[in-house]
Amino acid sequence: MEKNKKLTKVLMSGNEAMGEAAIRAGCKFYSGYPITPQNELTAYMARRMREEGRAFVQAESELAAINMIFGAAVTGVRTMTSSSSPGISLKQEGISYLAGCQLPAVIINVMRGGPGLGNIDSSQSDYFQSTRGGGHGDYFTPTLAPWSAEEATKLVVLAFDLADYYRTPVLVLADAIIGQMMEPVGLPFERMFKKKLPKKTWALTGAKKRPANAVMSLLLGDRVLQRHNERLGRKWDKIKEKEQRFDTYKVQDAKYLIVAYGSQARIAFEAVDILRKQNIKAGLFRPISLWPYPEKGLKELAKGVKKVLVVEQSLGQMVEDVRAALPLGEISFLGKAGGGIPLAKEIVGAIKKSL
Amino acid sequence: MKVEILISGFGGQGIMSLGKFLAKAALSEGKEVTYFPSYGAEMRGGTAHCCVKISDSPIASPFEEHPDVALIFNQPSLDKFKKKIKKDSILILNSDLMSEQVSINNSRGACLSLSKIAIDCGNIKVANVVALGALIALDPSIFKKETLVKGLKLTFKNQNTLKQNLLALDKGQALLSSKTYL
Amino acid sequence: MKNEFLPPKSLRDVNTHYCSGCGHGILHRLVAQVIDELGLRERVIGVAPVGCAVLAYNYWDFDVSEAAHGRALAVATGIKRSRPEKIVFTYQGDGDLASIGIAETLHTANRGENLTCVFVNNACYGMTGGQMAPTTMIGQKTTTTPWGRDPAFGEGWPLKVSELLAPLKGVSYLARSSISKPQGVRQTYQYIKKAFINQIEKKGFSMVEVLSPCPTIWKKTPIEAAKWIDQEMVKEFPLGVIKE
Repeated sequence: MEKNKKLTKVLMSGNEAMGEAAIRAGCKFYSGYPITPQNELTAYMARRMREEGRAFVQAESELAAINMIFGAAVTGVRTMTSSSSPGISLKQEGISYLAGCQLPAVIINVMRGGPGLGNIDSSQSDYFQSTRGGGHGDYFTPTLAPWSAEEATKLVVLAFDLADYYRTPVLVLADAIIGQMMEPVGLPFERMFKKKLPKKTWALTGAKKRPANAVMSLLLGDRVLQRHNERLGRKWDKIKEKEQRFDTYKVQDAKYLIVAYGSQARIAFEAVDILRKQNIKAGLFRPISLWPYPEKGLKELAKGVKKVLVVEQSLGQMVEDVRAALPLGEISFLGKAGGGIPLAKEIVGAIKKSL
Repeated sequence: MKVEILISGFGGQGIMSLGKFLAKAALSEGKEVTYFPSYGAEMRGGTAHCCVKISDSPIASPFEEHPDVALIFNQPSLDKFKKKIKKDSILILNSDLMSEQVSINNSRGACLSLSKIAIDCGNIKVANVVALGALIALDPSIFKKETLVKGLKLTFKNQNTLKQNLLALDKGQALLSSKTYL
Repeated sequence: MKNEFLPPKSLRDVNTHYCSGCGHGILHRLVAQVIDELGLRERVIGVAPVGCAVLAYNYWDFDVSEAAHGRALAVATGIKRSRPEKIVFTYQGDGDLASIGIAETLHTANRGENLTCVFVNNACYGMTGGQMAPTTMIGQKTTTTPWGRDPAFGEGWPLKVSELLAPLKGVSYLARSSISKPQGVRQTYQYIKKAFINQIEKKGFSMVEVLSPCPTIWKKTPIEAAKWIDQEMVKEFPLGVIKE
């Protein structure tokens, strides 16, 4: 939704745009498995990766796909896989191994409704899975949630940078609306991460003129794994400190703050405008990084706010992070799960009820 | 300016193609635009639809709410979206695929023989462009005809297909210019 | 005269954690020797399985990655496709390759990935304490087949992975050997070497299945274990080149 007339705008779906962003970010290996609503992304990569002389493999399973990504990451190349909710559940084992082995990789989840096979409608019910580790073991996955096709491209590029900088898998948490919708997307994509990326001296490239490298997450022996986890813990702390991202709309004088992310934030954006026209001082707080949660920004903003309304396409997941950030705040929740989408008029209604 | 366009019909009637075509046309005129399709296997055989929103300012929600323009290509689509269509919406129906006698009381509505006219143009698949021609006759303010013609020329490399599409656009437009509609 | 008994450079001079009479020590050395002989040490990337050989990177002196259980060939696919100039191999046990990873095995072979796979068949899960593997022999007692594997109780028959892969067009080379005897060890060396040369020559998927003793789980002495391979296992898993 950003206006930027300097760029050439091309009409793309979020799925295609994320694929193109990965290619422009230098993704050398992609592997995926068919699942709606992210199939256009896999198809896009199938065509474009070969055009670029890079590797694409349609994997036999989600497990194989994530482990092929693991193999590519081991060699130090940029690599990505994508799927939708049920497929991401299957990938969690591999994501845990990537985190344990400290391998950079990008995983895109174009969320759909669950639990189980659910449906193919938009949903935000994988918030817990994404921000709480998802697989086994003590780890977190930095999670970025775009609200437009264009922002999705920027966040995919950022995800590659964060993954390389912190040596850890990074999740781009889109949803069916973001994946399926077509919008004008600016080319080339902007790079948001300005720090210098470290050299991948740990990568397996053949033990030439250096000692042999090994990639492992099995760490036996007295307190070896404990120390590894402590090192990882310091990494998670650093990410929490440095990588909180959010956006706001009409918050300067806001008394009523709506908190929403991804496609739901677009609808909340519309609700803010409707409320403002009725002279109700509403504003939008939109987390971009879901882990780490942008609690610093939220705390700061909430100081002048009377009430907070959290809106999600779920039965209430992110709302827990809002409650944790604002223990004394007056927080209410509006949500629908299983493909239901809280509409602008419903958000307006919820705010007016709380006046 | 803010327009919401709903296009709906059977899979294979060029519903999605028309939606994407219009989104591209609007983009080429420097407008803000969103295109949101129905997707997934369960849509095939039933209705396929898409929503195109065009505006001078950024567009928040991409969903259809109350379309300003509805291009409806079959009966199930009309049944599905009837309630959402406003009295003052532009409504174009394909009379060839309506199982019942439809009466519409839209001030700017037309029930047209889109499929038959498309066959007259040499290709049943251009029924979607016939509807588009009718749309620019009903409301010339949304799309400039030259933008659409330019778009068709960019889309169709095959000269014969292009000719059929250009003919469909003209015929659709002429239908309503000569006031042969409801 | 060349001293055949000098350890290969690709093998570290350390003690392994393997049980006495275990086949992994011999096989690690054979792989290392092939890699030295073909001059591959500086461009080889190995993938270790989950199983007894998970610590292989402690014994091989070249680049090695772990893989999740059963996923070694998927990991190897990712490595090889990202760096086609490298020589990539997996080293997997029967639980890893034939049970939890059979889908990866079948599809990697069917895609004709230009990889080398060393498949260690010891008819059981070793590391977890001796459960039934897909390759466990009929009548063989394990912790999960306490009365011996019996198809009548739904425990199935020994899975012959090499024969299963043989009809696939992506597979260029399949051979089965045993390391129960010195001549078998020499034969295994030749097979493994061939499987690596195939990769250098871009011939597609090559796998060597090695019948390897697990005296601890089999509850046999190393000599009895070797005899059991020669007398029992080879009947179910005949030796030789299966596809070339």
